[in-house]
Amino acid sequence: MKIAYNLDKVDFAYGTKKVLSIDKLEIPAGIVTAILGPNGSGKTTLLQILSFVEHPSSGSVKFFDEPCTRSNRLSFRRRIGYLTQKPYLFNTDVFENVAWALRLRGIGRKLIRKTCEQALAQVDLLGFEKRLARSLSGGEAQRVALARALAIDPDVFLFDEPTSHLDVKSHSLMNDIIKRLNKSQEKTIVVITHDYSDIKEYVPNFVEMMAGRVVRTTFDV
Amino acid sequence: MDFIFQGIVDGLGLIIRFDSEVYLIIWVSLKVSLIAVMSAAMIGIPIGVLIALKDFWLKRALTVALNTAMAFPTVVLGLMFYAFLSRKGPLGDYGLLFTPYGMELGLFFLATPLVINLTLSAVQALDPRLFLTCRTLGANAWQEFCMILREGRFAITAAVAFAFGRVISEVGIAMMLGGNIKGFTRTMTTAIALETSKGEFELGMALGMALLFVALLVNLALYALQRQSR
Repeated sequence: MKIAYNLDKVDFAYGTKKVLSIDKLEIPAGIVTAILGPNGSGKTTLLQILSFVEHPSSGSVKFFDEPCTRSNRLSFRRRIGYLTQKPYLFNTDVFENVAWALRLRGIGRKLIRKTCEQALAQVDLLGFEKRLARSLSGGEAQRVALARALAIDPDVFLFDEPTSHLDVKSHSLMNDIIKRLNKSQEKTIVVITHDYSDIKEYVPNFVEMMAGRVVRTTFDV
Repeated sequence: MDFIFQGIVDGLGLIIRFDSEVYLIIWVSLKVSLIAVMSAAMIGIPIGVLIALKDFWLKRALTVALNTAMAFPTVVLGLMFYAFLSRKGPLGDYGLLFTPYGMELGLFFLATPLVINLTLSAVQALDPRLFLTCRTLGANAWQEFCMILREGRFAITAAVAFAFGRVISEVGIAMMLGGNIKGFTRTMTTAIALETSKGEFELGMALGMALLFVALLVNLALYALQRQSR
């Protein structure tokens, strides 16, 4: 079994307050893993470490067997799609919001247009390209953010409670996309959720956290 | 009242007749102010963004110092630079005193703390999710900086416009470092002060109106930008 993330003796602190202490954690590649736990248990901090936005105070993180260093951090970050429960959309139109991450990667104009249209079609927002991102509803904004993550075609998707503020339609669309990404494209997906029962049918694997520590993992691969 | 009304009419006449002296003074003012403010923006905006994004132990002290610098009396700043640029001063050999370069230097130091401080406030007022979004989308430091400027464009442009307003309307630095030399370092504010003291009210009035017109233009540009960013 291929391992996407390998965390070894990872500690993370905000100032002097230690919020995360993980002795050992392996997250398998190509499957969906849920991160469960009460508020303040360190789930989001763990996800930010997995996205290489935050760096552990001590310990090491390997990404597909390669240790994270200062020099490869950016390239690791570019292989990850991250979606938060309340995503930030840039103060411009929907197309620009999706296109920016592609432009950062030096992709040509024609391919950007094609990729953006495909990504927007996947989230049922084709035709929204010229709409101002700030004028969208919460569900639509969440779908634009998902399109933005889909467009870069990352190896790993990290979702921080992606369905918690969504209407029924967007909620089921989001779950369908997660299922499809995993089944047909074998993407590695890590999802933080409060409502495990909602995704249990297709996410049998979870990491349970409590007070900054991993208390249980079930890797049923 | 007649005297004020006559001053306004005569002043308008000088502007309409394209009086060369009036337009030379306006040109010197605009040139010196624009150079000072653009230089301050090029240095001050990146520093403001950097201070806003980084946490370091002197940050609070630096913010207090910047706030103090914003309220620095221009005459005192002019006096300090006069001491540095005068023949006996450490920069005396460069011959910058009573030249447009000397004025630009002084005005640059007046504008820079304003630009830094207002940019700092503008970036701190941005939604913190912006920074996380930039990083998670794979932006490097430069790409993130460009996106911060884009998202904070209105507030940052307002900062530069505010600095321009302060620089073009100040008199202390322009007088002390420029020396109010006709056709060379005479600006709108120093000319107004001089002409009014000489009793040449109409020229002062013409330049006062020109100064107000420049302020109006700056505000109109800001308003247009604000509408565009909505």
